[in-house]
Amino acid sequence: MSGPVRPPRALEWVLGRLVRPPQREFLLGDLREEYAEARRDAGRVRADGWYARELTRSVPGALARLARAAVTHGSGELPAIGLPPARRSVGSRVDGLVRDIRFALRSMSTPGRTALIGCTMAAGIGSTTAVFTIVDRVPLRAPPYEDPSELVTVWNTYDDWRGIVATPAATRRITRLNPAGVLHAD
Amino acid sequence: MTDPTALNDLEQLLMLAVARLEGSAYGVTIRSEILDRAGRRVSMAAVYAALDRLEARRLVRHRLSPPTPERGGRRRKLYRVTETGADALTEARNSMARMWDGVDLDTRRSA
Repeated sequence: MSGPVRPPRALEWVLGRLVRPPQREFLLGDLREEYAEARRDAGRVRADGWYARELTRSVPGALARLARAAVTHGSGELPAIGLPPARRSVGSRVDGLVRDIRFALRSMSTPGRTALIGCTMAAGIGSTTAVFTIVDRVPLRAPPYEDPSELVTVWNTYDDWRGIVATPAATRRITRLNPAGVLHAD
Repeated sequence: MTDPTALNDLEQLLMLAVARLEGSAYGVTIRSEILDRAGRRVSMAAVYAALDRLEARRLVRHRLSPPTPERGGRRRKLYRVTETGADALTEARNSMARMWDGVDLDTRRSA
């Protein structure tokens, strides 16, 4: 005979780590009851998905708690209005950051908003990567040739066929062009 | 300083659910009551965080039930509204009623 239905062990373990110890026993017990009901009504896959969503909903509060715990020397109080930023304690600044993170995570409450935030982040990361790739390859790195310092720029002056050769060191006129395509300059 | 009996939207929903459930109010039933009656889905972590705050302000109290195998040997935390909590809920309802008194939104819509 099988025992009581229980959620996936790994998810339950992670959730237990995210919840404050005074609430842990009661919250995990409640969710186990609800999981058993979801499993009866909708099957294992959907019940597991439901439990995973419950877990993700506990993340913002857990992150806020961890950040506050990390700043043990902060006062944990908000600064007075008008106080210059330099005099704000590390604790109050981290509290502000934590509030921003929690607000951002709560804003991802609907699929539409989550998709919008995801697309915005993807566009930002993509464009930054594209710009960095161009800057890295063109001005920062040497061209992919054996001796890039010998590369020259050639252009025609229209008054004769010879043209001008510009090297990094000097600008010279072409005096000869042999059949192999090698330029000779004066 | 903030009035400890002032209730926000979620706190009012939680306390009304606890009051309605009369002795059988714990995480599962409270959450279900709020979903059924108010159509609002609240995470279990948010329920317990808010109940902790309400209990610290002496607006609700809890007692523990014996552990059961269905809950993995864990106990239930059964809540009830205190007298101070009942006063706070009544004041919240009265203040909203005072705010609504004389407001006619139908007239504004048709204007």
